[in-house]
Amino acid sequence: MTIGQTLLKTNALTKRFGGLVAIDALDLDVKERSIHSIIGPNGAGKTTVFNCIMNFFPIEGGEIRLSEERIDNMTPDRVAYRGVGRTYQNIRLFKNMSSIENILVGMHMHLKSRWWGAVLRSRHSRADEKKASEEASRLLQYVGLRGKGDVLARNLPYGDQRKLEIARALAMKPKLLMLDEPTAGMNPSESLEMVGFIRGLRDDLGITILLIEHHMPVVMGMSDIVTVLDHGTKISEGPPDHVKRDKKVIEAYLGQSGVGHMT
Amino acid sequence: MSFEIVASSFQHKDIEQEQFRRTLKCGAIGGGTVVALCVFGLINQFMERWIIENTLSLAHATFIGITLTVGALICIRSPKLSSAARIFQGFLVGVVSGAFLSILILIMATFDVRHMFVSLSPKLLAFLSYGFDPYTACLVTILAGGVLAMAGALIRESPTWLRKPLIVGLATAFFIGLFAELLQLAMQYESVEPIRDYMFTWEGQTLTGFITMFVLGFAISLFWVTRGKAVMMNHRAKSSGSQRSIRYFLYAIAVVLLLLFPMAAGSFFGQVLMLVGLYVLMGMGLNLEVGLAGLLDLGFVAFFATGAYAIALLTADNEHLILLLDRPLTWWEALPLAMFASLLMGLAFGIPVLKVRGDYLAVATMGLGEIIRVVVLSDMASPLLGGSQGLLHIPRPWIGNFELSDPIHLFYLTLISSMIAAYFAWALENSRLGRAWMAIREDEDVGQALGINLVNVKLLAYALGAWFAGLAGAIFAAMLGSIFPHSFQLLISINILALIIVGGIGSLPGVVVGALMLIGTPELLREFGEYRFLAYGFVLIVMMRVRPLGLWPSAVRKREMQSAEEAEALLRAQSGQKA
Amino acid sequence: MNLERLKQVTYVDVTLWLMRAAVILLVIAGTIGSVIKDRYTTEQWVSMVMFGLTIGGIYALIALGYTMVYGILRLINFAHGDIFMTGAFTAYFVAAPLAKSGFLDEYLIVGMVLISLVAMTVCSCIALIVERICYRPFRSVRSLAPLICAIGASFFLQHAFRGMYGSSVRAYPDVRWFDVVVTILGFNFPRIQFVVVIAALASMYALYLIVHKTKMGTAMRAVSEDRDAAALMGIDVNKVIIFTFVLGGSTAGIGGVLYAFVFKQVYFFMGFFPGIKAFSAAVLGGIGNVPGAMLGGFFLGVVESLGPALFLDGLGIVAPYQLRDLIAFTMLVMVLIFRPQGILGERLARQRA
Repeated sequence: MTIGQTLLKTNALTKRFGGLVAIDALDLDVKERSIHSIIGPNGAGKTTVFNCIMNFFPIEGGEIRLSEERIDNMTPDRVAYRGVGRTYQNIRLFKNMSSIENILVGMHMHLKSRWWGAVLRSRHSRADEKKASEEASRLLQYVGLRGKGDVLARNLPYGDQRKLEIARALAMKPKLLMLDEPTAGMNPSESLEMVGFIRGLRDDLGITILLIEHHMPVVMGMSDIVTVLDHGTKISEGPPDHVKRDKKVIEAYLGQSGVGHMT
Repeated sequence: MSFEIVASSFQHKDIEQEQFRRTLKCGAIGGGTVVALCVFGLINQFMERWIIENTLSLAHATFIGITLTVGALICIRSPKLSSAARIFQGFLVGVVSGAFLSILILIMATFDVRHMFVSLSPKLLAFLSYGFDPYTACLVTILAGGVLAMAGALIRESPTWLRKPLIVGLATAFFIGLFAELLQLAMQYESVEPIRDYMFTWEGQTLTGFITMFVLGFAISLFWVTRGKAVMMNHRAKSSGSQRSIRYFLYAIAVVLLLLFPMAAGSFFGQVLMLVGLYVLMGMGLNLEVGLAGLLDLGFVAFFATGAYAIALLTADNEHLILLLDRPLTWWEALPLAMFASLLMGLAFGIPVLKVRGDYLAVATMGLGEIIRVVVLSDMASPLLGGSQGLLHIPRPWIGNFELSDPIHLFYLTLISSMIAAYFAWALENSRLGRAWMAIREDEDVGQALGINLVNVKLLAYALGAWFAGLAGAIFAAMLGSIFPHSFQLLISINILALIIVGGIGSLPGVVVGALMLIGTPELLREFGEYRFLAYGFVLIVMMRVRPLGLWPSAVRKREMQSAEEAEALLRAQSGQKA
Repeated sequence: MNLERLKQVTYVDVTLWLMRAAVILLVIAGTIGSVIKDRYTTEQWVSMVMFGLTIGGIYALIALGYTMVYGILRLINFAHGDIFMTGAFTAYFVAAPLAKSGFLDEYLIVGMVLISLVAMTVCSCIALIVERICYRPFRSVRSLAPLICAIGASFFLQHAFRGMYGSSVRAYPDVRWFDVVVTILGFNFPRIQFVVVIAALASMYALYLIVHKTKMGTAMRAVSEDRDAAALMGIDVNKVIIFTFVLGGSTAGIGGVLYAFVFKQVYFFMGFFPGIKAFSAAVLGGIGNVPGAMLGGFFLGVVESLGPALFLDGLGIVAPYQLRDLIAFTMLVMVLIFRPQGILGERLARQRA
């Protein structure tokens, strides 16, 4: 798989909460069609990076560019339009909607029908709707949730909820998919399955993946580039082998269970 | 061993004590309710209304009903006792309730409390004491309470085949008596005159009428209890096709009745239905905002007012008229403009509050609504809007050469409009926009991160909701022929919100049920004046406590309540089908 | 940089900016207009401010109930205005005979304490009943149910009291001592205005002590930070909530009595507008924030009292006093839109969904 040009770039990204500096002058360079992981101890500011890219809150300094276009200062929906999809650490599905409806919401920006079309039942809008639900079923099947389309999201088992969340993000047809701890709470064999699945996303669909992960085997097994954050600053970056040997990283993780996995 | 005995005797004592406390509590509930009804002045009103002419007033019926209920209540609450003991408990509860009322009688007989409690009048005292002196009256009250509550317990303890028909029969006769006057109004045809005269006089229901109705209710219910199962089995045994055709047949009958009833029932019912229809229409509009998009709105009345005022300004021939042509517009010509004005008002409301959420949104919209009302009412705007004098001489809509002058004609207009609104809501629910609304109701941030433009979808919710409210306002203006600022109180916004929540939020039939319950019923009980609102408040609280999902919850909400196991079972069934 | 930012400005932002600018401009233009017109004397201005402080003190006392309940339960107690009414209305039946017998004029302090105690007790009891029936069953679920229940309770209280005490307006007795005009710095005020302001400040100080110096107060603050954590620490959350409602009811009771002695009349619907305005005051100061409620109350009172003369008259609006409520509502809406955390900041803004 060839890794291409820069897709997402942050320049001196800085975010403060009150007096606390959550992210300090972070430079991030995510290449097209790469799997790029962000790791770091708890509270290192990993999820905050995602929230900044998505523009859930304003940043204090620096800039974020997606394919050269500035995307900070944009509202989250515009960032989404530019091709950024994400999942959440604590799964945030629309719990009272069915699986298929969740995915259809994900397809929102690709559907063309207007509300008057829906009211008048125009041929165009019916066709659009039909196509959408077919595609949604295909997506469900793709993530392995075939036949569970009518189940309410809240009633799905935990693992299925994770898959559905990814499916919902995929429905946006993103260029950049940001996954926040996709294997959290999974056993080793499930994790392995997830690794294969994420690889597939990159290999088959050509989606760039930005990943936050705690499971070191997962990270080291599939990442092209790993960025290590500690207290909001980048302490190391490079291919897994390089990061594994970096002293600073080991220091940052010292005393944490991660050390065992890394060596 | 001995320890166990001691323990069990303690236990026994505990149970006894608990039973005692329970008895007191039930009695206090019953007695407290009765006393409260007296103090609040409801009994004074109820005394005037006969359920059975010159025999049983609504006040009596209320006392009897409450006492029967507490008698039954204690039976339900004490499942461990034997049947006989329960009936005795019933007696005790009734005595306690009676004691509460007796205390009130004694207080009223001894002190003059009228300067404080205006309802505790000599007339009430006379009513409560049945012409006895106070002490005898207390004795009688306590005994009567005991006997009645015991009767309640007896009914509760009787076998189902007897209990249900008894309750149904009594309830039927009671409600027929309660609405005697309205029913008579609806029976103004010669063909039904003998029935009417047999059942009612203008004072109320006759005794023979009461007994007939009781027997009728009893018989039908008895038939249903004993034979109902067989009928249902018979029905189930039929093919699903014929089942469906029976169902459609019933629906068709219901629709035809709904269409014909207002015409047959006379103009009073027409007016009530018209009002219910208006609220249904507005409820459908607000349902788009609150039910689908989750945007609380307590300023909804402003959209309604905008529609009404726009119609008035464009059509009514008075000094405030805005001339768009060389003559005042007709109602139909002004209607699109009025709806458009409401839509703009919706946007004007929506834009400022886009970022306000939850309860704050309710308060912010309420504030905006009140601002509009204050401005309309003020002298500042009166050269334009007529101030508190209102706008008069609003013409009625014409269809060809036919003037829609009667409330019933307008009711049909409202009905059609409501159906259109319901269709809108139904069609949108499964569309791109409807899903986006539901998504932001569930989680605004996530929805936005999926590419939903919050500004657009929220404003659409406000605009479409306001659109229907504007339509309702236009019909309202035509119905009254004149409009005043005080027709557009906060109360209306509250009513609409309450009716869609009581009906079941997000549910279209729920809007109709809610409107019938919260708007229709109080209108029928108009003679009780302001006490309607007392009942209204009470009903709101009870509804939320007993059925927080509403009377007719939407399918989605019902699904929410489905337990995880049921969902799993569903899954298993589905995968089984696939395999 | 700036240009990039400008590109992202939407029509919504523009509308909001225009709204803000319009309100500020109107206020400034109105003020200038009034100054030029010079229709009111200094004395009138000062008495307007003083009246504003008086009514503001009452708003502040009611606002405390909203703010404390919101702090603990994250819930707007919509029935609070009517709870305020119940106390003031019931206390009338103590105040009237006391005044008639001359007791109130003779032993003013004892009499006022008695009247206030009655009002506080009634308000607290009603607040507790409302909490028990309308809020407690829904404590753990997030839904619209408490809101609807509160609206129901509001209707019920209004019309229950209407049925009980009658629909007529009852006139609170005149107290000679209150009506005496005192002169300070050449300006004349009736004594009652000082009494209200001082009583409001004193109650607020007492409340401050309770919240910050007692064990129960500490528990209250803990529960408002994190209810579950507080429960794990062995705090009886139920007791704290009950205590909060009693405190809120008591301050509303005091507010009710003061209101009644200022406006000299009570009736069943009297709770509605003070209720809404006190809520505005609570939001204005930052809901959940006790000193904020006080500040918000006084601020709202003064602005509302000065407003018609200061901004509206200057704009050449006829009958500006009709629009007094407009000022309160506009402030409420503007605060909710532009600064929902209030002047002093909502202590718990981050948790509000």
